[in-house]
Amino acid sequence: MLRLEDVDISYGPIPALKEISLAIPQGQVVALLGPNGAGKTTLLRTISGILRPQKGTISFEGRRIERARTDKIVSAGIVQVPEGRQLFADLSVLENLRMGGFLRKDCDLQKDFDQVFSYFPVLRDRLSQAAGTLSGGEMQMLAIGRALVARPRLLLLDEPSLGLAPVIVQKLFTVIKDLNQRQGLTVLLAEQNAHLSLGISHYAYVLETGKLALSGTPGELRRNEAVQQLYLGTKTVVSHNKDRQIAASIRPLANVEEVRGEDRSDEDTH
Amino acid sequence: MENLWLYLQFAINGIANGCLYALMALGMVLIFKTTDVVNFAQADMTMLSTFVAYTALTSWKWPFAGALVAAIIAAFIVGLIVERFALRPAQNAPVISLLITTLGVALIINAVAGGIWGYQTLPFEYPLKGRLFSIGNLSFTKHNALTVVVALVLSLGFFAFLKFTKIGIAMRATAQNKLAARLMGINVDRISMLCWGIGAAIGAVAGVIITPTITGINLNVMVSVMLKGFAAAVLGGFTSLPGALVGGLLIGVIENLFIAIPVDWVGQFRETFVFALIILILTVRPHGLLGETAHRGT
Ligand SMILES: Nc1ncnc2c1ncn2[C@@H]1O[C@H](COP(=O)(O)OP(=O)(O)OP(=O)(O)O)[C@@H](O)[C@H]1O
Ligand SMILES: [Mg+2]
Repeated sequence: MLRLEDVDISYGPIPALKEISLAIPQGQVVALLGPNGAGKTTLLRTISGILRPQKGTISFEGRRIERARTDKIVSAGIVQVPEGRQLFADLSVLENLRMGGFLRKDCDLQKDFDQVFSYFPVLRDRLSQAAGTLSGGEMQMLAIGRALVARPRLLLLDEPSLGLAPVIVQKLFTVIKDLNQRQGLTVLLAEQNAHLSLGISHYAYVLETGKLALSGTPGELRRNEAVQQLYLGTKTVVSHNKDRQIAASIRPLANVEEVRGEDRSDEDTH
Repeated sequence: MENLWLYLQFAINGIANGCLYALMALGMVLIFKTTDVVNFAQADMTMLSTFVAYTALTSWKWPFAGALVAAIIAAFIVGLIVERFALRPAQNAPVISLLITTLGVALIINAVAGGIWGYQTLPFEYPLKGRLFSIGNLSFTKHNALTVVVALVLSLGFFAFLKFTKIGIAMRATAQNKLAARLMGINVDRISMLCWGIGAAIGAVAGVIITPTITGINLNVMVSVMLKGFAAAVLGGFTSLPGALVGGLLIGVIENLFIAIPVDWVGQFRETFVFALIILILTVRPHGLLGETAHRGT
């Protein structure tokens, strides 16, 4: 559905991504794992047309989009839930949702709002509240809800777990899984929380300092020595400002078993 | 007692003037909120559209309402052109460069208008003369009534537009978070352009209505109107649209009360007093009367 070939991106003279090639098949959840500064956000912004690649091609359903304007990319069906939610803070919850439907030709958004409320009932009670006054978890729900109103066919999620309590993260991931399974939504999930991400994805790429280091099914990655050390908690990674979140995402390997129950790659079921 | 009536009368005139400063401020705040640019070309853009109204009135013999509409349309188009060809190519430049760009635009418009209409002050005929009604010693002129009604309708209509229409909400969304706006498929460039058009058009209404109350129209007549609009915007917090209205009304009323003080030099220096008072208010409330004291997180 989405294919990147040999994509290079730099911020001025500083290269951020080198020779990225990846594919997201229709109907799958693909995880993009990587530590702080690996380039996950850069990659997602490039797909959405916020950044321009210096080299390489990006195609969505056969059409080249690496030079397309962001609004064209959104109307083609690629919608992003950006890192840090990026809500319209002074706009109400309802107005934020309405903006999700900005490009919708039909003006009847009520059905889409109802769908969002069915996933996140708490938003229904807060329609007139300013988005900036929501709790962190509610903000992330609204950010996802806002993107859903755009009726995406490919949803890009940039660290939805950022700064949230484990129970809420769990709940959000259940919703993502449900959107994929029941609505057939294709998802690219950029995350540091490798455990949960591998638990709901069909395939994963690991990004390290701007390069794709590894890729494979969740089962393959779990068995990989380096991944275990870096992401699955046998070694503590603490890098600059997000250690709080990293701490939440790292759990001992013993927990892998319980996540495996949810794993959907065939070779991983016992 | 005599004096009280006098002050009241000047306060009424002040409200009318203040409405026009408020409109000027509204236009500038709208442009600032969505594009982070303080439009120092607002005076010259307004002057240009007021000259268009002048030509419509005197050469084409249009009625006043028609001339007003002509000025609004001219201003809207000028606003679109300025955004598209002067500011957008420089949009990644630092804000200070963009301010200089608006000053450059002001000079260009000034030169063009000078070439077309000349450098003298031209009389601006105004159909609404005389008073509408009086209460006691207070007279309400037709001009004051028109000003207040126009300002009220325009600002309420504009607020409703921002509150209830999709494009209006998108304007507010763009003002708050451009990245998110783009990710929702909003064409941010087009929204900026629209804001410049609307901001210029609102200024044009103020310009056309205020001109008859000053001596007439010339190339520089709008500068003091813009400065008061600017001051009104600052007083209101510069990011608050209702603040712009409150600021404009305050400046209009205070300025006129200074005229009412029966001491010659006070009247002469009224603009100085107005600005001194603004400085005083800002020392007490640095973010303006209705400005945000801090940015809320996302
Ligand atoms: N606007 C920018 N200008 C210059 N360099 C940037 C910019 N944004 C990101 N970078 C650099 O690009 C690299 C990749 O950053 P990016 O934000 O894509 O990483 P990330 O994987 O999303 O990290 P995190 O998990 O912390 O969000 C980093 O080295 C970062 O410093
Ligand atoms: Mg990131």
